[in-house]
Amino acid sequence: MVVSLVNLGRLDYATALALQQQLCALRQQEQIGDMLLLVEHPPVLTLGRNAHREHIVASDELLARRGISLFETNRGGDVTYHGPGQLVGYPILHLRGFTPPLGIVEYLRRLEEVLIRACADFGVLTQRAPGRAGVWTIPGGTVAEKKIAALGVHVARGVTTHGFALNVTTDLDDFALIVPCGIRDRGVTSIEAEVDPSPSFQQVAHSVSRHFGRVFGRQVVWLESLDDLVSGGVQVRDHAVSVVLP
Amino acid sequence: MPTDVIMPQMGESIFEGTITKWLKKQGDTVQRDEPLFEISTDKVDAEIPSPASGVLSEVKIAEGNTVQINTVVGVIADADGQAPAAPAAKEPPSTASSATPAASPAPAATPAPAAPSAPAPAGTAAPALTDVIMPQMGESIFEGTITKWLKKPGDAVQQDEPLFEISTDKVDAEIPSPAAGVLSEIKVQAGTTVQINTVVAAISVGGTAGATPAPSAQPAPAAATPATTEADGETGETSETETGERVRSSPLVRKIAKENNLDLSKVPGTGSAGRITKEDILGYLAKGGAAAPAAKPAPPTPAAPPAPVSAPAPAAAKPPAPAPAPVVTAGDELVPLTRMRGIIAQRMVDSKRTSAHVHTVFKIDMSRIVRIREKEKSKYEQRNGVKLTYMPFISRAVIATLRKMPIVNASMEGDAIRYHKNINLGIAVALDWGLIVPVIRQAEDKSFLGIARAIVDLAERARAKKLKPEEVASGTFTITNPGIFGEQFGTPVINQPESAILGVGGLFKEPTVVTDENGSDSIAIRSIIRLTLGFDHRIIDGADAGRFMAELKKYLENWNEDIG
Repeated sequence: MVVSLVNLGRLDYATALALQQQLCALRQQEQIGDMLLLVEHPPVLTLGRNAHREHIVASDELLARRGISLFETNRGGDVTYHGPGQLVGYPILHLRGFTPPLGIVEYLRRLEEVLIRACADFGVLTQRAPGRAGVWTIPGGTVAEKKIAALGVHVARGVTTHGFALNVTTDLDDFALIVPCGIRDRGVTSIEAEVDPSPSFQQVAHSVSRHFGRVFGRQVVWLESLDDLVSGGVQVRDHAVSVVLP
Repeated sequence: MPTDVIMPQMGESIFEGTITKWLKKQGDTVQRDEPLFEISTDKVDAEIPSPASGVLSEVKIAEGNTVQINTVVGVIADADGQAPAAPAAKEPPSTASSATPAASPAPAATPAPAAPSAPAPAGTAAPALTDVIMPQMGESIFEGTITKWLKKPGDAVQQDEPLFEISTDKVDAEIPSPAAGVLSEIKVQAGTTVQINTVVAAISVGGTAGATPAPSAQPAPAAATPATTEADGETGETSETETGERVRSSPLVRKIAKENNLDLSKVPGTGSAGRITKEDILGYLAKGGAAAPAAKPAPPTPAAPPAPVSAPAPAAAKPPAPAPAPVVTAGDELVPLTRMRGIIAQRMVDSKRTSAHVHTVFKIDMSRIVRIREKEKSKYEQRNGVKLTYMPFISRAVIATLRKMPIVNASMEGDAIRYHKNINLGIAVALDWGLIVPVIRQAEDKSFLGIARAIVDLAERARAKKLKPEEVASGTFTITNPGIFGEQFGTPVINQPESAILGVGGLFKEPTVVTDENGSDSIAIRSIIRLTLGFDHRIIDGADAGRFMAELKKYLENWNEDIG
């Protein structure tokens, strides 16, 4: 039982989304196995299905000036921000391939578990918050809990898309553009903001991969590129993705 | 017949969802499990598959509306009332939404259901059969026990009228009928545990009560000799009066009571309105409240319904096949398993079976191999360009031993054992981003040097992210080497679906008793490792495992293979 991991590096949101959709379709047809895509996006705001437009605080003009684009997606959840320094993971898993099959909520809980364990590797203690998906730091004294990772998933015919976004060295000022996930009374944080010295992006990616394998009971095989997965190769050009199967 | 499409529950604490998009329009044909609409809850977005094949005859909740779970959001009508194999003639949804009147007199005319397994579509007027399935009662619950059928085959049943009772770990419930009609067949008897979505019965839609001849199974218990009635206690009249008391309780409690021959009216209830909870009845049983389990093998007296003692001990009804004979002493008390204990027992067995781990540890004297390695290692690396480690020695010994004992290189497949032709040897590699097990395929064809090279190659490529996913698949036996961390020995976990794994402990110099050829003992310092075999006890006996390890030990301690 294998999950192939591909680190796409810095990739714009639209291309990554198109790629996810391609891979999801291939997974549904059992043409490929389970995958975990890791990626870092340029600044972008994405709106989930339940998004409220008023949760984008910044004006369109300000967003345009800062080169931040806006996407409406089919994941669950409200508005969120992606940007450099944030480790974004898109698992393409067939939930019915697990024994017993994973329910959607169980899947979410496991994703949270992966991130909680990864944060703990670097001395950042985190937890779940009832009623608010995502991973939160533990409050202390007058400091309320803060969100360190956001989750939002989509499941179609048993196959997952979208996933998690863990703030490693994210510029937290950018979150001021929005009300993250529609939650007004709690702040956001990053691993860098919580511990000193901060681990590297690479170390965090390795830790997430390790715990992903453990929590989901899979071997994670880290591939150099998508070409190793689909022997016909993958062409990514101008937001259009084509996956060529042998 | 029309099938309601309901808003599913997407998680235990989520009680409503928004329909974001209908993927089919009214009047569209839809296949079972084809995505029908999309919903969105707080954190989850999902496509919901159609519960049935047919025509989407009505969309009751428009896009954008948020509704409670279990709300009917649409209706699927039969494509045309014919067998689903022939979806040729599509009728407008308006006619399909009402049960086709032509079908209703059909069951009376056709005495076919006498053979319930084959309701062949004799003629066009055959009644439509709707499958009744085992519902899922919670997100992590995948099976349930049917505790009671509330209808007999041949009974008329209304849509939403309670049809059977089920019991799962967390939920007890009456399950309503999905359709109005006649219960034509019960496929899963009371007392049986089945997976969710199993078809448990069929309802003949549009049938008339009583008109359908009762399936042959029904008259059998009546005509049976008293000796066999014990097995049919479920359907007998006794159970009706027994469980039909006015005592408030759940189906699970009633089942426990029945299994223990317990009169529920004697159990004090602590739940609301005196309801008897599971704790009440288990507590009562624990205090010795169980009715004496019929010490005398009295012939059952079906004519005396009020006496619950008449039902013989259920423990006798279903003897576990060939169990070792128990020691029986006068005065012993035989208490049947409660449902809870039954579940625990089953879980224990399941756990032991799916992880099925037994371990055996052998101490191996590696002194001979250590000497060979020390003497050869620098020349070896110059000659072959690969470091001489202990792993190829152990791997070669394992391969040689696996060839002698193919059962250790086998896998369980359902009820059969697959003996693998090739030895595909997995070598566990710990990486920063996780533990993976690349596989040396057809390891039996490789020489010592070939194995040594393959191990180094796989490990290097794993670290360089150059492995392909298929290179970590289809292993038949795994070696894991945690000894590099200094451990004595571990209890490695089998890499499914393999049947065994060898854990290599650390190499230590240890004082060891050695016996010389004259039989005199002395203490010497030897290089010792501990090898642990973790094996699947379903297919590998302890004796096989012991023999395997003894062979492996012999091979290593008396190493005489050319290392190339």
